[in-house]
Amino acid sequence: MRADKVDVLVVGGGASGAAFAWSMADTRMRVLCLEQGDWINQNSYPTNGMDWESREDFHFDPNVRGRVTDYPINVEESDIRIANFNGVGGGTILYAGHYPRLHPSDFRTRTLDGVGDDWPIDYSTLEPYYDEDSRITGVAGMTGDPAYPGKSAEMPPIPLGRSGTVMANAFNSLGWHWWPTDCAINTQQYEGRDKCVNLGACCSGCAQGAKASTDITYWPLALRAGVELRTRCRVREITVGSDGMATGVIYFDKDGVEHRQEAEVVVVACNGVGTPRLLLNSRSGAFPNGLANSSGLVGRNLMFHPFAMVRGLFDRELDGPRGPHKSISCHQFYETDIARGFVRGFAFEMHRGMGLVTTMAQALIGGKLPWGAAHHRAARARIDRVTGILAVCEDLPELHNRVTLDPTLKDAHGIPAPKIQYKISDNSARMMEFAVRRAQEVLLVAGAVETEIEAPMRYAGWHLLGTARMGRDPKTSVTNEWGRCHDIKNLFIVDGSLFVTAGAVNPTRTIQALALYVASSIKSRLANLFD
Amino acid sequence: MNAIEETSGAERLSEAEFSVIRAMAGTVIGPSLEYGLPGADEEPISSRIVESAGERYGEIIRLGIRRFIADGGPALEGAAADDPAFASRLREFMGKHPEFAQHFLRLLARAYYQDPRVIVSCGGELKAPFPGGRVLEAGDWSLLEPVRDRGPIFREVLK
Repeated sequence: MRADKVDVLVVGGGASGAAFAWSMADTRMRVLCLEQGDWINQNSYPTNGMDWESREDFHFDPNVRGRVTDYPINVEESDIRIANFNGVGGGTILYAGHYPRLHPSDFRTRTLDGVGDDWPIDYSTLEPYYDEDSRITGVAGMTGDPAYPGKSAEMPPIPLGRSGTVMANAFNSLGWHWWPTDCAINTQQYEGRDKCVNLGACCSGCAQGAKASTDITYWPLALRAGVELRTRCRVREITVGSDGMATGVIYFDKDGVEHRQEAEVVVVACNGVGTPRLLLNSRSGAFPNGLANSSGLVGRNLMFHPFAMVRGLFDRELDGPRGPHKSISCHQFYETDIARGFVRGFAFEMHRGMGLVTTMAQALIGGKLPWGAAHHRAARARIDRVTGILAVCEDLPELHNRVTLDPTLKDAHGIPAPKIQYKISDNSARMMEFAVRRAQEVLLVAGAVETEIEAPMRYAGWHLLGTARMGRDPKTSVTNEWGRCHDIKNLFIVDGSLFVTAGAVNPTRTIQALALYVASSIKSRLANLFD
Repeated sequence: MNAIEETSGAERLSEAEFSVIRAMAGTVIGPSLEYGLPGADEEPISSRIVESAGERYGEIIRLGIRRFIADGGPALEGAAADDPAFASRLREFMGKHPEFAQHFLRLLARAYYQDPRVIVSCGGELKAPFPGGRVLEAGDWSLLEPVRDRGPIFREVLK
């Protein structure tokens, strides 16, 4: 079936697709977004029930979650498993709402540290878009963070709680930086959305609607402005005409019926795994190695931020699962210091405790609880007494870390699934080892009576970056400096695939700022967009 | 329908296999006179372990149990949860089969710590987190003074 041609077709209704579509709405062009997942009803989130800790239908690993809207991912050759979510809002449905910006130095790693590559843009390029996104999303934070150039927040910061207070005192004892982390979580009513009520299950969806997922931030605005969003539409491939320009897509609707949708401009917003998958699946006679892949870099340079978690057990009650997972961050070790034995750095995120079931499961699996009748007293000594430090390590772009198409694994529509190949580098491993020792140090200063290490975290591929990088040279990048594919002038990419380096912070805020920047770049060049 | 019949998939656990699961569960989490709580081998907790395994984990659990029995022989059948020899053999088995251990212990934690008696005993409430929510202390932001006093720590980048 063939539908009327649209002006702008966006593939993917997640973080970047939503921001981009909203921004394009003011052109009054016909903007259509195809999203393979569904709208998510807040009543369906796990915290609506007592079994909230056991539900796996909102697990972040699609291979565990197995919804009809998921596709399988081969991670057998990856040190880290993928986390994603297919639905309106994409990964923001399950993210923790931790919302930091990149640092200025993150855009210049080659110039500053001789590693990675410089971005074709810099922090000042994105600053107005960080601000624009902040107004739509609503950021809770505090001005004056010494780890950043000046920035503001729309709302007061997430409360410290007992966990944050204990850790803040420890950071102060050590003379380390810490600051209330920027979070996309309402600490007061904002733009018609209510404030957080500390459900403590941010990463399985916010039943309160206080966490800023794009289904409740950008999408309502975009739809009111005339953007069309069709759900349960899985795009199989991007089609290309004889002139080498994108002509649209072929997709399956929820009944499995194939459709052809034509468009003047095609925009890919499928995340750092989904985007290269779509481009590689769009191979043709003219593009035998996949679309936009003359550089050979589609799928390559995959970056994850290898994570390490160090949990501290305290002999007094802290917050347990009360409150957002995140409250304070430490960027003491963010910038490169060669004396540490590695280049680039990491951020610490304080992580509050978990619920009763998860606390006990982790303790049982970690061998922390005696068996038999003795289980009970030891178990009680852990309830609401665990707080962790999460280390977000910067991994560098490496060609062998990549997304390809699996030769045999396919999704429910017969579309080849992605295969992930990723090895934690020596630099990342040394960085992680240092980070773990520092995390133990600060937890013990805070009063932890024991620590438990999980490094690397296997179920931690939350940040999917770098696989269709931007750049000025078509030989070393997939898109130009404003997201237009070098090879196909009406094909754009707006998600984390664009990242040249990863920084050491959660990428969603930068992804959404980039999407707004690409949209703005397109709008300022409409007269000669394909030149 | 009991736990054996509930187990998904073409194969079901036998009575002997289910009794081993009960013994495993009761070995890890025994009853508590101090807190007035049952062991994890008691119903309905032990059935819940098997029921919640579902299709996703049912096969792993089934294979693990059968391997455990095959390793241990007839002596394991009818073993009690408070049998030190059984506990020793279980520890050794879990050390050698970490995937089974992780899934079994996670399912055990879910089944036990979602039992209403246990929740109440641990100070919890028998209700969903939403819509009531929880209370979080605000904290004292004057703790940031030393951080402010040290000044900027980000690296300046010249254009």
